[in-house]
Amino acid sequence: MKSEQFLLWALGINGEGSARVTFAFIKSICLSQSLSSSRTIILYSSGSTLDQLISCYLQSKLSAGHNPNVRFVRLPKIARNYLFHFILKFIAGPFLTYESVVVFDDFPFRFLHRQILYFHQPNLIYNNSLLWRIKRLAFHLLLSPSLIVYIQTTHMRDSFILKYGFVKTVSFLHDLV
Amino acid sequence: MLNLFYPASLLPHKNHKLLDHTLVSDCLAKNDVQIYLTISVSDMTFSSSNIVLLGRLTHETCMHYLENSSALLFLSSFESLGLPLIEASQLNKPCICPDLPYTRELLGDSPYFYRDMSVNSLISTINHFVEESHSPRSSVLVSALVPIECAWNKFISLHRSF
Repeated sequence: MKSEQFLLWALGINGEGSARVTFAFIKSICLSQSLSSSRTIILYSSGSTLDQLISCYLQSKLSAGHNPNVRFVRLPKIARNYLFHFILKFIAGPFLTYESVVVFDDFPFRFLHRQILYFHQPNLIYNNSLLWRIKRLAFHLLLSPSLIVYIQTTHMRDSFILKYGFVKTVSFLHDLV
Repeated sequence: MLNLFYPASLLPHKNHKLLDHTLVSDCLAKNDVQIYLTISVSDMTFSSSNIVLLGRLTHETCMHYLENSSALLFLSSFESLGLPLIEASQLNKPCICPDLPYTRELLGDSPYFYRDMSVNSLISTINHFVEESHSPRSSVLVSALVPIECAWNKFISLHRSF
């Protein structure tokens, strides 16, 4: 069986803003004529804010022109658990045989090439509570030399580089339509 | 009556507590300004009757409130992007927000700025906005937005660039 080309990983997405951004990409992939020949898997979790947006979309008339090469895979809510996620991101990378993986939640895969992390979690830079310091440590452990990080704005990119000393970054503003 | 709309969940860095101050209550009453917040009574209460708690809203409802408001109020100390700022600029709405790198990067000099975490500065800025409310300054996005389809194409080919 031929493997899918692209993976959009959104398992940990549950915030309103992050769900809106991620869903905008999902909708774009589903409805784009130029992307209709690409095979894409979209991975998300049950009961999340993103799940609600995807469910509404799939039930709506808008999905009539839906790209048949896009497959949705919904995992149970437990998949959003941070500890589970950290372990998964540490061990699952070598098993993902995609041309490109775009990760929209907080943690990248440790051992995975051709991966882009869509970084949109400012708490990983600015929040100094104990919880977020632990998450920052986890984030540090998951950074790898092959990772490319997309960051929405230049000020966030500069703060990210200062915080993590990681310079393989790309930054530009995109719309959500 | 002027309406300010602040769409944000109750998180510490969103600074809703800035509004829970006697000076702010007095300012709102004096200027006949109402502030609409997307938090509920169970999250936080305010002594001012000029602050209206709408609870959690859908995005569509938020956009409706923003369209019908006099300005966007945005109090957050940090954001990775600040989607409401972009939405306000697309609706040609004025914006009252802290003078921070994330607001400057998106909107340049166009917002009504106040000093982050300063109640006195926020009040001064609200007063300034009220004075100009007959023809307020709209917020303007200073950067062009890449179409989202192009953004996805860029992502899936980025590894060839590095």
